[in-house]
Amino acid sequence: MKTLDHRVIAALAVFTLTITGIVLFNPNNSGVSKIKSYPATVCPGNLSNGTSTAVLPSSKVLVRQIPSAKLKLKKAKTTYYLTSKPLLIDGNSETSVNVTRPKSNSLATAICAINESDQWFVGGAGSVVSKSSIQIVNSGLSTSIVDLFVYTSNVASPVVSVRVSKNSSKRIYLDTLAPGEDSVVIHAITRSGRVTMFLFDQRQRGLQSLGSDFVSQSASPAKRVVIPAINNVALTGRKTGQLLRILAPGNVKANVRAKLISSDGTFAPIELDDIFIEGGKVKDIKFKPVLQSKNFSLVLTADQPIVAAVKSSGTFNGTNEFTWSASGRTLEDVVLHFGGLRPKVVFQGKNIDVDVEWTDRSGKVYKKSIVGNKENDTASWSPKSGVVSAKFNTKNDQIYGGVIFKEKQGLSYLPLAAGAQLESSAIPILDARIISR
Amino acid sequence: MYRSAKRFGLSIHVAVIGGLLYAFSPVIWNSINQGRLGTLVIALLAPILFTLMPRTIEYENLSWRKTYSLALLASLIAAFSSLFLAIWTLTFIALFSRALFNRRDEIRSVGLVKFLMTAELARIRRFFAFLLIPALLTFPWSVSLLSNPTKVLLEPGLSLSGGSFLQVLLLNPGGISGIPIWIVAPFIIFLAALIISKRYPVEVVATIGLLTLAALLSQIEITGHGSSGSVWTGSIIVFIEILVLLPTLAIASNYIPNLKNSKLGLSHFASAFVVFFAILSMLATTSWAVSAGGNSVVASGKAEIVPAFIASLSDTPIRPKTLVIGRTENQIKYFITRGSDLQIGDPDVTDENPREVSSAINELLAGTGIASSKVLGSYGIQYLYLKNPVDESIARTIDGIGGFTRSSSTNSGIIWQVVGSKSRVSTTDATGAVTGLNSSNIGATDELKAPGTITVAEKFDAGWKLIVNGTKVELLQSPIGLPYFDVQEIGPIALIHDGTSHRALISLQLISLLVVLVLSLPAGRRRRERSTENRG
Repeated sequence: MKTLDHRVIAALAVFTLTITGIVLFNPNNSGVSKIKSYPATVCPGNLSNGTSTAVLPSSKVLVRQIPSAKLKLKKAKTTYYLTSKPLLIDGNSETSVNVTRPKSNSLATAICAINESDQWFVGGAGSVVSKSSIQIVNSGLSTSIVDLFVYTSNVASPVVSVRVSKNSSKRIYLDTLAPGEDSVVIHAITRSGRVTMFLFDQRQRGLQSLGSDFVSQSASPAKRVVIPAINNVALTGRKTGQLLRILAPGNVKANVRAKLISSDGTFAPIELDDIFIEGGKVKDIKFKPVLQSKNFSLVLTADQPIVAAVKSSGTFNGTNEFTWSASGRTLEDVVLHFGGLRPKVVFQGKNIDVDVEWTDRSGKVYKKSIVGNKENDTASWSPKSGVVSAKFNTKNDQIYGGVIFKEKQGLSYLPLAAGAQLESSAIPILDARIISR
Repeated sequence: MYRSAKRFGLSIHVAVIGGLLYAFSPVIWNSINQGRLGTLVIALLAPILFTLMPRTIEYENLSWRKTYSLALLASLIAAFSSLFLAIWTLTFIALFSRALFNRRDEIRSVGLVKFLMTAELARIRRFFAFLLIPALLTFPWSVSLLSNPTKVLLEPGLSLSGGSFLQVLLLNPGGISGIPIWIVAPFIIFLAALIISKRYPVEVVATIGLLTLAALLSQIEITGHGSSGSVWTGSIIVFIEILVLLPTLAIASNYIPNLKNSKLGLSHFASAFVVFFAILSMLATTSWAVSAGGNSVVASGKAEIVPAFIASLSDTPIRPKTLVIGRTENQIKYFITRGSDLQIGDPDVTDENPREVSSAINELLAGTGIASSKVLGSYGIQYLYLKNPVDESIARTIDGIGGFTRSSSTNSGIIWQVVGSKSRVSTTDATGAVTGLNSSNIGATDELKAPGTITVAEKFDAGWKLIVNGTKVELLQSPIGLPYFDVQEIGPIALIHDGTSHRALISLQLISLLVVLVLSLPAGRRRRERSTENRG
């Protein structure tokens, strides 16, 4: 029998060796180099008649007031940055919090953030007792344009386009956007510019303060909305009330069902049993849950996308105060700087398992795992003293979290969310295919 | 392929089958689908070259006319495939060197000059002609391959990535919108059959060598022609197919008639399997071509990329450029266009961006380049266009960095105007006032009204020449890499780009082409034109 030509055998041997080499070494052809960074965040300016403090992660973090003559960021030199102007904070992995204390002893808190281009604010009013205002901060160096769509209990108002000059901010009072309206929802769309918005709700009748708080940004319209942390004000205050504000932004009517979740159990409050709302019209519904638990969550399910928030109000030690608990997004790993405030964190969701590591005012570090009750899908964490910073880690998705600050007189809500997400972008490459049809 | 198969000594029926198998091979359809003109030209011409080349190594018996014809054909193929040019030239350098080495004693005894003048050099001269002519006829491009050897791996047009390693091993070069991996070409089975048959060892060795080369090259990322991607191995696969197909058909045409007279056995089933597989592959390729194949990267009727108003500005005397940014998959990509979408031939003349421009773009997109707009504007970039789908974080970064004013935001994307951008040719007078000068596609002619600095918003190159009142002005380079001229007088100016060496190489190419054409054409007089006594 004829044997294989020795040249063929040699060629096959070289081929086999080459293929084996390629398979074993598996060269990586991706060629994509990535840069990961946190974008700069913005804290609101002082929108009250009191003080406004930005609680920073470190005194070495770089900041710049807006507006400022020089564009260069400088070291903050303090972790409690008292400022009347909005503050630009250099990008970092930890989230700063703004603590505003009006003269009326009420409390308002906001996450210092870099906002998305599409934001929903469920809260505020344009009525005679309202001094609510929206602050639009343009931290960029180009003029920005923001479109405000204001929804009320009557009809949707025409769009209001706001132009904000570079490196500046603009404050617009809600009574100019929705004069005389008690129920307001604002949909803000950033058309251009690096813009951050804050809605500060402040009520005042004559010289009597009725309380204040920031209205946190709500989750985008969805058929399932979770408001993770609502304070049961009935336990601690007088003349208390809970008010659910809800909007189906489309033109179609929506049927909404509510489920109240607390450590006492899960039930549908009688006022929220079966809600029917007109499309495009804001509806306020008062409810009075009878509960022993200090905080609770509300889960709304609807046949149309909705946005919602709950206003908890009352008189605490003679001071009128309220807070807006906004609907939240699912919890992701986050580090928040509370500046010594004592948070009460409420988690809602299936199989809650959250690791918390916090530093108290004395600098002592604590760790705790928060595990949910399987029967009622809720859990809470309430440290015994004030917290400087807290780190929350979870491996489970579909967990929601919110923070309640309940002082003797002040009351405020903060979503458990990072002000900025880690942005990963590949180093740009020259490629003519970008203009190829 | 049909004609080549007939020249190979195959019957018409077998040649038709060969043509069909070749025409329905994945490499041909992938090349059509992806607009690989270079591979298509090779697929058309390579079978001719393959059958015309001497099968033995007796090159000395090759007539000069045929030598020049073959060299001309090889030059034509080389013009569409630098890899072919490289392999061809290296092969003949090796043969030429080996031929000289074999006669080293003769050279040593008589000396090199006398050897070249007196020795019988028919073989060596032919090798020399084969190695020199394709390189000469592809001047000045072949010279640029010496300075940038990695360009050898680039096909004409955009560097679109080829297929996976496995696809290449199955002789399907793959690539974006190409034939899927499960449509396996029968050629790999033909190769196995050839190895088992133990005939045509030269073809088998060459095939395995080329397949190894293709597998290796498919793992290399190459940047050039304005883009980057893994090396396209289609041209190599075309040669593999030709090398495999003709011997396989020759064996089959001899072997199949014998099957009739033999007992039913493994040979019958193996033959039936190969035939069935080949038919199935052709049917699958046809089905793909009339269905999913229509969704190709070169399909017509696609919307324009660069907005019409920017495209129309490219004809104005200021010649503005536009930086187009877009995101594909997980990669941010950009390109600087002079106004229009990419046209055929554009990628082949695309040059690397100046380092300053690349840095400015990187810093712009990272949000750190406060002076990005100044650098981009100095290079004549007037608009920045962020293509849809818009990456919000990029839009926010550009809005935040300053120096860019939003012009529009539409369904196609967002356009910013670069603040203070300069025209392609501009003059700065003593007061600092910048005035744009009229320019054409190639150079610029205008009237200079005040002495000052004339700046060209292009990459620095020693070829830029400025003539003012008939006098040449010295070329200088700015700190950001722009060519500029300090002009002390006023009057008519002419700005040109003078590529002397380029022109010289083109002249050499044209002269060589003319010579080779003449030498490859029939030289004798026609029979009727000869005198009666000279007629044979």
